[in-house]
Amino acid sequence: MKRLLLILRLILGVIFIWAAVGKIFDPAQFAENIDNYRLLPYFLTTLTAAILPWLELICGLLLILGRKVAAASLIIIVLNCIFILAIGSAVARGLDIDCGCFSAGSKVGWVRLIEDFALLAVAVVIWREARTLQAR
Amino acid sequence: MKTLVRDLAQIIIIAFVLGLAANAVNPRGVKIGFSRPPRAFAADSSLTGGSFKEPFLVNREQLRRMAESGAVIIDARSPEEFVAGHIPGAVNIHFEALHEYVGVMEKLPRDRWLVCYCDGPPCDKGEMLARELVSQGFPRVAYYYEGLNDWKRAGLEVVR
Repeated sequence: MKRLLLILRLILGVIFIWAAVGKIFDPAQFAENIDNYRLLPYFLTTLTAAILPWLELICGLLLILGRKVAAASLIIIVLNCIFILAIGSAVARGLDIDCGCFSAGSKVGWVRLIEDFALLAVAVVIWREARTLQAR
Repeated sequence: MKTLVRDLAQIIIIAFVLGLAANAVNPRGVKIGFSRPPRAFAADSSLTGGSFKEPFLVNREQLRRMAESGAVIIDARSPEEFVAGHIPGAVNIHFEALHEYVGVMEKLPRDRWLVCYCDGPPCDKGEMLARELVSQGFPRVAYYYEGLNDWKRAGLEVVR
């Protein structure tokens, strides 16, 4: 069980770092991607484009290092819920836009939703374990 | 609980500081602000000859002028949408099914401008198709991001 949790942590960490890096290099492109969702006022769009990738990067690193795992996984849970709502609303509105999930262009759609639900599940498992460790 | 809150606050503050700092020094950074910057249209002088590694953004007037001087207009939407109404003279290359249009793309001229479009914001299929054509080595590619909705708003002809 311990080993499984370690592997899950590493996988989730790497995925989040991978997702973060491309966006960190190109915030302007990421801002355009967020803007296409037509969900946030423009000010929050630009702020999100600058900060969200770093949040992903830091949380990914912490998961890999095994530090502050409870906090990092909780942030990832919240982020994934937001991603699911955003992508879900884009799918529901029939928007045909780039997801902005990873650096390479990928369209919003059911596959992206399923991916995010899977990541959410992994994050919840990690979070629960980290919480019990912290409570001890 | 206390530790968790403290950790959360630390992570978020560090992300804020690093994010804003990195964005400020990054040449591809986004300008934090309340007003959405207008997309910059291509300069008319660029839209003549030459060979370019990036597609140009053009407006309605530029599109009309380019079409008059022989540009190929490309509708990046689905065949169903295309049949329901498109810009006169446009050819259809559905961006979602590019593999079905290999033959059409091979026949596109390399010595003329290619201008792609979709319905208009937020549809970015025209822009994506334009980028695809550039990556395939077409030297003069542009996209009309305001798209068919803008065309119709201006009361211009749409053909079936």
